[in-house]
Amino acid sequence: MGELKPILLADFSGGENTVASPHLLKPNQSQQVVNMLLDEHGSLRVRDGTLIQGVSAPRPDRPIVKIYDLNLVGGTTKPLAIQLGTSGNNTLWIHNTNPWTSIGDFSSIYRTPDVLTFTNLAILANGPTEVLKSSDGTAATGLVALTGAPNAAHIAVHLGFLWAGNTAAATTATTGPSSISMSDLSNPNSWPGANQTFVSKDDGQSIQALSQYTIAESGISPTATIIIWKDFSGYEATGVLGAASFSLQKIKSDMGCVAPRTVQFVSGFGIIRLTHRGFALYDGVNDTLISEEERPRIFGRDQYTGLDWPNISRSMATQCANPPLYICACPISGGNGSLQRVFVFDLVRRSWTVCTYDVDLATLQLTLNPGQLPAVLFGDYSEGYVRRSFAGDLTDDSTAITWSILTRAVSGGGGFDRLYWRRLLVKFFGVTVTTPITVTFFYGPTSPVGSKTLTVIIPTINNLTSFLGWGLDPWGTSAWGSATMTAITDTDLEFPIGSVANNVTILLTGSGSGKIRGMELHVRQKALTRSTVVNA
Amino acid sequence: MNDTPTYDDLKAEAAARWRLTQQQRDARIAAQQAAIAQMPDVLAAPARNTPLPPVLTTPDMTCPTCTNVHFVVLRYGCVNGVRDKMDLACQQCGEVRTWNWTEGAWVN
Repeated sequence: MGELKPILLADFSGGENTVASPHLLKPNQSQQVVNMLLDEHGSLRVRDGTLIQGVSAPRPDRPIVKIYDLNLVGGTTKPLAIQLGTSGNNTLWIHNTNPWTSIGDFSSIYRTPDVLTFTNLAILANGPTEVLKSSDGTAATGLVALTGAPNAAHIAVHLGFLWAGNTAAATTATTGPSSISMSDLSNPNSWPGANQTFVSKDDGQSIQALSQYTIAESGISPTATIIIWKDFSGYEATGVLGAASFSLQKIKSDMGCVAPRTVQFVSGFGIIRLTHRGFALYDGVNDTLISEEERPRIFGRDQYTGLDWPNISRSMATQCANPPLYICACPISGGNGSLQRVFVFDLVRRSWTVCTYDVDLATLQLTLNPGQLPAVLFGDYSEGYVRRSFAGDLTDDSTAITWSILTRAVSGGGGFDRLYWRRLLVKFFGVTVTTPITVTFFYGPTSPVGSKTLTVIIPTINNLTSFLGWGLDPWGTSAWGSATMTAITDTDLEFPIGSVANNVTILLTGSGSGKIRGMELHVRQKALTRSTVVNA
Repeated sequence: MNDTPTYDDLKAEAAARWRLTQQQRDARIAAQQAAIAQMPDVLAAPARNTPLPPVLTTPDMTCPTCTNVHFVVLRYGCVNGVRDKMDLACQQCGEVRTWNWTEGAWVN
């Protein structure tokens, strides 16, 4: 009888791949990774939790469809939120007061309003049926319609001008779903007639977003172009309207944007947005589909429910600086219209994981405030709270985060040779003691006893208080004998298997924070024969 | 333990890819702009605030308010080197209007 040999699964940096055969996944990929992030290279970390900020909105049943921090000259920040109109029109609030302070009501209901800062004002676009408005963040001033401005679904500040796109539901001489307009320089109350043109007028599509090569929603773009996304196409505009040198070039791609607020410029990578074919990345030259591994979760197939495509425009995206992530929340088919599936794309590793939240979401926003770390805020769909996330919180507002990982089908070689599977070892880090970890083994090929489930509790570890050694210090920076660590939190759990099978797929589930740093299967080669499963 | 690249390897690879694509993009945009700068409408573009002699305009271009045919060009916009719209101030009544070259008509 041969010795037991290890099969190591210590690199999960490939994220999840829901489209490939479980037998053909790359060694660093898994079939499913839910509520985990690819933070520490190779390992999986339970996603950050959420933390409620302030008090609930006066009408918590109204979805919070936009969160925006207005940073005024002088250092004042006005945290703004827009709630969707349910029995009336959309409302603009200041959300850090108790109760929230109403700034004013819009004149329409619009699910994906846009806000940016221009000339020390918040400029608000509440859809193609309402004129652009401004706010200085005070209830006393309220919402003020910009003079001479068009209606607009989308806005951007580019080269010192305020740009508006999709300015009416129907086409006229100067407005329409394919129209872009531009204000005078640094003057949102002056909109010259020559500063307007159409982007492929009446081509059956409408402008879905304006985006730039800059992360902030105000300021000067490093390159003098603005990208105009329509449903199935994109255009790159160079220069300013009303000038002889203005150009408008179609991007060589058949992908546009189907969800306006999924567009994110990510410095060093390009512009990511949700298209009719999935998530795509435009880097200024190539427009590449990046979500092939997530296609079943986007369009639905087999056991995967797809997204809610009739309501796909509600999807919202943001980005996180630490680690660098593109985060997009989407409604799912059969859901209640809220954003119930959050796709997380690790930009460096080009890998996906998926997150879910107990609370229904309506928006995500990266807030950039001077002197503070960027913060990701969530807006509730029906509970009225603004919540912080991706900030190191260990629970979802005191509720433990449930996570799971479904590995690739692990085999000894080609997937057809029999092995005796003795045990599974899993290395955890930072998981709270007494946390139950459940493993289900699925044996291949299918047999009458197709799976086995075990639950093991993370044991209590006797902390070693202030032991001596090099510890976490860089070698050579402290004398040996320095007190460096106060606890050991690395835990190896054993899950006995005791089965003969060709391959094994492992479903690992648990709750609470922590990391999975690796798995090791101990196996023994069996004589090659017909494909069978024998359970001990 | 495995052959996958390190995080630093991946970051360096992404940075190199970004630098290359931005160089290509800048070159493409520069070539586009150079070509557009040679288009007839761009070469003929009047400078801002220049009196526009009526003989150089279409016969229809008269001020709807006072029927004057002398204007000052406030803005002259082209799209991809082809004239699109221009803002004109009537030299007689001062009314500012936008002329659409494609339609051959006043916009407002």
